[in-house]
Amino acid sequence: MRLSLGRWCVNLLGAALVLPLCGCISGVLAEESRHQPLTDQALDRLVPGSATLEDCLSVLGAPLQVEEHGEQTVLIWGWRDVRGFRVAVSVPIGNNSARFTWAEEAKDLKGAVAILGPDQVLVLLRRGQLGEILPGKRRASRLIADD
Amino acid sequence: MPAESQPLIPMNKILILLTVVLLPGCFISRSTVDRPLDAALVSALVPGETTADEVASLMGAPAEVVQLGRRTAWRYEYKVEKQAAAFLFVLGLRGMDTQSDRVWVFFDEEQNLTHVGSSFASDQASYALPAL
Repeated sequence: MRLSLGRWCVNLLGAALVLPLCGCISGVLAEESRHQPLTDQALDRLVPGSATLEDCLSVLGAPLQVEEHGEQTVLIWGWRDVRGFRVAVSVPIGNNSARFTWAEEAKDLKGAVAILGPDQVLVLLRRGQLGEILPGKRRASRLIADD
Repeated sequence: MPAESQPLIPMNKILILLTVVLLPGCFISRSTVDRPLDAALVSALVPGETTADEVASLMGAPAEVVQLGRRTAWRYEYKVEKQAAAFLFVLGLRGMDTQSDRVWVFFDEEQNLTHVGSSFASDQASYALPAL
């Protein structure tokens, strides 16, 4: 037997009222901070071609990550300072829970990437979203045989 | 004498009901990763003099070792994450702050210390709820 449109709307309204009461739907205003941001003034002090590894470390502090890309050394600083409202829906199904979340906040860290050559001199300094400015090719750590 | 009208539901029951329904759930939490770093120990590391063995004996095992050709870099990190949250009915407020003390030490191929980079910010992590 088909439910009439009116009955269907009443059921939907009932679910809309009951789900929040059960804690299945909630709105969360969230704020997240990660690590200390670097200032543009500090980054401007590092000039490619003249700044060294020592300069990078003394001006910007310890990076979040250090990587090897070929013969280059990559230093990565990152931070996050976001605030957003999100609605979370969680529907119990048996013993499990299906959870769907829509978030407005950006997921990637803002940051800076310093690329140094084999002589430990700064070759390139990028700033922006880390997901966009990180060098693409990453080399896994490996053993080096003695010559 | 006129009869006093009795409310359908006593006021105290309404208050209890409102308290139960609207009682905000809230929590704060603090979690850490690894041990705190001693700034005095870090300042004792001298590039050109300190060796990898001495760094290891002073600061213990690093959290990460990165190979940079024939050179290496070690990471030490102490991370603090503080969270605060309050829930009122279907609206929640949640704040999270993660800060860390971090030290990178760089060694040449002879395992001599060449560079030290340090940042100390773990004590700046705070419990904070976003303002409406």
